[in-house]
Amino acid sequence: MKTLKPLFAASLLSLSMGVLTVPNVMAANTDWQPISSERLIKLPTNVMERALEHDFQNSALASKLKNVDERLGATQTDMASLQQAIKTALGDEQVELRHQFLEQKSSYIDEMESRQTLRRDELKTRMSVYQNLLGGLQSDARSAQDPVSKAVRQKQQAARQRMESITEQVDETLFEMALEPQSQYAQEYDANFQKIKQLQLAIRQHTLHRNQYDTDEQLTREAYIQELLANAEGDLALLNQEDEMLGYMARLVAMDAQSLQIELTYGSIDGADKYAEIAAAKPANMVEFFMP
Amino acid sequence: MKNLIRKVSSVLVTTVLVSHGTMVMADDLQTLKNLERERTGFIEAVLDTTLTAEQRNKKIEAKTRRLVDLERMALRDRRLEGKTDPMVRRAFKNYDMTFLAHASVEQDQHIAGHWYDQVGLSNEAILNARKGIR
Repeated sequence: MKTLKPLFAASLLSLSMGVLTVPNVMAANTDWQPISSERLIKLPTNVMERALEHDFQNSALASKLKNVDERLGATQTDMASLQQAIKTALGDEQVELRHQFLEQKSSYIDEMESRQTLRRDELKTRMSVYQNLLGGLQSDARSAQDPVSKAVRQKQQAARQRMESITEQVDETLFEMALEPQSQYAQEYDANFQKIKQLQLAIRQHTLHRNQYDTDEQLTREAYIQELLANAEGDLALLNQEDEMLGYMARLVAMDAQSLQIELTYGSIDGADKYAEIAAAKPANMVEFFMP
Repeated sequence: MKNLIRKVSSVLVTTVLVSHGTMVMADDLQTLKNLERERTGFIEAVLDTTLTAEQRNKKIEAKTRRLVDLERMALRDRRLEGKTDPMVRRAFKNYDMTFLAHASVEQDQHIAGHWYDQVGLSNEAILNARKGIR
C-alpha cells in the first residue's frame, strides 16, 4: 500500500494537471476540401445539401470523427461498468477502481475535446461553403438586375424571335431553291429539338421535380441556403456551450483527483467518524444517562 | 445492399455534377467567336479582288451556308444570355450587321448587297466617289 501511494499520487497529480489544460488548438482544416461552391450552385436545391454531405462523408475529417465517436462509445461503456464496480468494491480495490474511473473520465474529456475540434472544423467548412453559395446567388441576382445585362438579354430575346420567324424562309431561299441538302447541324437540330421537348416534359412529370416545387412552403434557393447556414451556426453555438460543460467536467475531475490524492497521502476521513463519536458523547447528549 | 446503395448514390452525384460541370468548363463565347470568324471570311471573299465573279459567288454561297448554321447556333446559345462582355453586346447591338444571312433573307436581298447596305456602300455612292486626299 505504501509503495502504491506515491505512484498513485504522481499519476493523479499529472491527471489533474492534464485535465485542467484543455487543448483548444484550431488547426487549419486540411482533412476536408469541400466541393467548390461554383459546382454546388449548379445543382438543384434539394440535391445541393446531399452532395455536400456525400462529399463530407468521403473526407478524412468524417472518418476521423467516426473513429473518435467509436472511442467515445467504448469509454462510456467502461465508465458505466467502473461506476457499478466501485459501489461493490472495498479497500484498496475500491481506490484502484476510483483511480481508473478518474482516468476514464479524463480520457473521455480529451476525446470529447478532439471531437469538438473536428466538429468545429466541419461546421466552419460547411458555413464557408454556404456563405460562398449565398455570395454567388446574390451576385447572380445582382447581375440579373444589372441594367446592361437586362438590355443585352432583351436584345437577345428579340434577335432569337426574329431569327426563328425567318428560319423557314431562309431554308427555302438558301437550300431548297439551290437544291442543296440542309446542313448536318440543321437536320440534327430539328430532330433533337423534338427529343428535348419530350425530355423536358419527362422532367416536369418526374416525382423529384414535383417534390421540389409542389411543397406548401416553397423556399427560394437563397432562403434554403440561409436556413442551412443558420442551422450550422446553431450547431456551432451548441458546440461552444458543450465546451463550457467540458470545462466544468474537467474541473470536477481535477478536484476528484486532488481529493483522492489527499485521501491517499493523509488517510481517509476516518477522523470525521471520530469527531462524530466525540460529538455524540458530549455532556448534553449524556445527560439522560445521569438522570435518576 | 449497403454497397450497392453507396455505389448508386456516388454515380448519381457524379452524373449530376458532371452534367452541370461540363457547361462551366466550355468557353462561353465560343459560338459567337466562330460566327465572327466565318463572317470575317465572308467579308474577305466579298472584297477579294483576286477572285473572278464566278469564284466569288461560289465562295460566298459556301460561306452563307456556314453562316446560317453559325448564326442559329449563336442565337440559340443560352450561355450568352445576359452576358455583358463587349463582344456579346456589340454582336446583339446590330442584328442586321451580325446575323447577315438571316437579315439578308428578311430584307429580300443578296447577302453581299445586304452587307454593302449595312456599311453604307451603294452603287451611287461608289460611282459618285472621287479620288483625293482626305
